[in-house]
Amino acid sequence: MTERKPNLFERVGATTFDLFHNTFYAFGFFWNVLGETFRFRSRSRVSTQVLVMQILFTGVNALFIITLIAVSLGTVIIFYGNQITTLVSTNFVYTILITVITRELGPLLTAFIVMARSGVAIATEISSMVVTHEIEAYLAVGINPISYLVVPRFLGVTLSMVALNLYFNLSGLAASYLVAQFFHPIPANEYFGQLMTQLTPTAVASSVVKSLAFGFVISMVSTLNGFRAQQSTTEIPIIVIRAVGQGFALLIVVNILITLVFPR
Amino acid sequence: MRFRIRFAQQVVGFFILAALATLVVVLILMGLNQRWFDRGYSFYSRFQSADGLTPGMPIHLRGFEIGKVTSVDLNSNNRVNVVLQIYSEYYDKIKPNSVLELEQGTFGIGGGLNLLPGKNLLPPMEPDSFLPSTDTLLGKNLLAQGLVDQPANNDQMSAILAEVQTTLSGVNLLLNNVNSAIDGTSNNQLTGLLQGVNATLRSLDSVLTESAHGLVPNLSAITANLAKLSAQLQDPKGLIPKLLDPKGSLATILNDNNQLYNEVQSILDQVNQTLVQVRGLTQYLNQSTPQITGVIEDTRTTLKKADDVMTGLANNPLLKGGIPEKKPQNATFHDLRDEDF
Repeated sequence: MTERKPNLFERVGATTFDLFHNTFYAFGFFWNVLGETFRFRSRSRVSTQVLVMQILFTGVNALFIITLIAVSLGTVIIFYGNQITTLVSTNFVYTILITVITRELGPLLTAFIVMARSGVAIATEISSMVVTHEIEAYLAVGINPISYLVVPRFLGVTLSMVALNLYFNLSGLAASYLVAQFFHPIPANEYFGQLMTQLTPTAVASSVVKSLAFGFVISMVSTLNGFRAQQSTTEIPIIVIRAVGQGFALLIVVNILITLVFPR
Repeated sequence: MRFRIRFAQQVVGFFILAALATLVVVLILMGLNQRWFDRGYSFYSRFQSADGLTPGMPIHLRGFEIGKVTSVDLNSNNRVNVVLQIYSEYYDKIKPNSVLELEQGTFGIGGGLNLLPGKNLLPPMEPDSFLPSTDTLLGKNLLAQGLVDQPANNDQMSAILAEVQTTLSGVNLLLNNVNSAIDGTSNNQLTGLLQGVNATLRSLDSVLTESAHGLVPNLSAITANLAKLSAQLQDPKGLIPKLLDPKGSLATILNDNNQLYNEVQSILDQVNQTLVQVRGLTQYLNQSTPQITGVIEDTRTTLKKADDVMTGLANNPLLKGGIPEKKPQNATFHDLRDEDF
């Protein structure tokens, strides 16, 4: 006897049900992670060691590529910005630098790099652990995989994102100053003084909040998708691709929302 | 073990602490540069419109930022109240009779308020007092009376206008040079050029004069001949009256009782008869063409048969050599197509 093919209504209903189920599951997962995060300090030193290693891999090891991108971005902005500002206003280049590096592209580019490096690594690692029944082994010996695996990664990625974003800003703005010396020399105190004058607390707050939110998004999307693996290693690449796609999409959406929330 | 792994805690600690330290330093520098801890001195002003006015916009004095706009509000008289904060460092610059003017940035970017300080050595105005703007009557009066220290404009438009002024001066100088060159009072290249043109025109004039000396006698002779011909035509005893004279030769020839006309008529009749005959001959030939064609075709067939008979006779061994050779005679008709090239 052949199985009956579901009709359109049944398929739409099933898809909607899956969507709701996944959303509620994700919220439950986030809630569980947040609860375990507050209990992180009381956990054993092993989790702290995982956190340290996560910051090392996500933050310290990504510092070079982040700096490189920041330097190139700062160079481009000061080069073209100077041509524009000769027509508009001498101080306008500082506004461009702060808007592009501090408020918008700094946090977003950093998040893309972290998602591409650490997000992928986390999703792969956790899905492999699920497939090889390591998660079941943790549960069998009474270790909560959320507190031992997810929370250090969540904290590590989020802290690394904030730190990397600060280094991105520092590198980009310093590189702009250095490049400017080649075609339009500016005294250091004048350049950084003007930057500090134009930099508003709102811009700094927006940047820090974005990096915190992006860290949260990257770690949650990566770990949640990692746990979706079932039993086959062939699922791992699919899960990783899905995690990266969801991660990038969510990062852009969150970036737009935060930009709209923080006034200029 | 790699350094980073071995000293992971120290590396990560430095990584995080350095980032936090950077953030703290940036916040402190921002506070110092933006005078977060400087309460400053408050003043207020009034404008006709809030266009171009925003809270937080800077107040400049000769390019230096001396304060900020704190708030912009619409009052009960539909005028715009603006509250300012002047930094403590620049408080002594707020002299009586000072006026505020709105500085429009290029493309709407980088605007602000300009403080035009009063021209006096009086002590600064009291805090929270009224600073007139250029929109108010008081501000306009202070400017008109020359009580305000107004710097020369140094914006982009002023620079463009200065360039235009320089260009116009250059054009004026050029026109003066052209004028003096035309007058011949100057000694520049244009004067030399004009003098050269003048000399060329003189040479041309002399050439034309010399040529005219040669042409004029010829023209005079032609004109004299025409006059003579005209006089002859108008002469009552000249050619025309002779031709029209009833006793003249022409009249005598024509006055012969139509004899000449009749002879000409008979000649034309004969020509006409000849043409009729030619037409009849042509029609006969046209009608006889098929028969002529048949005769020619029969003749051709007969000649072909005769040729065959002659060939047979020539090949007959009994008669071979019996026919004497004839010396070929060239045709007298000679066509140009037969020529060898």
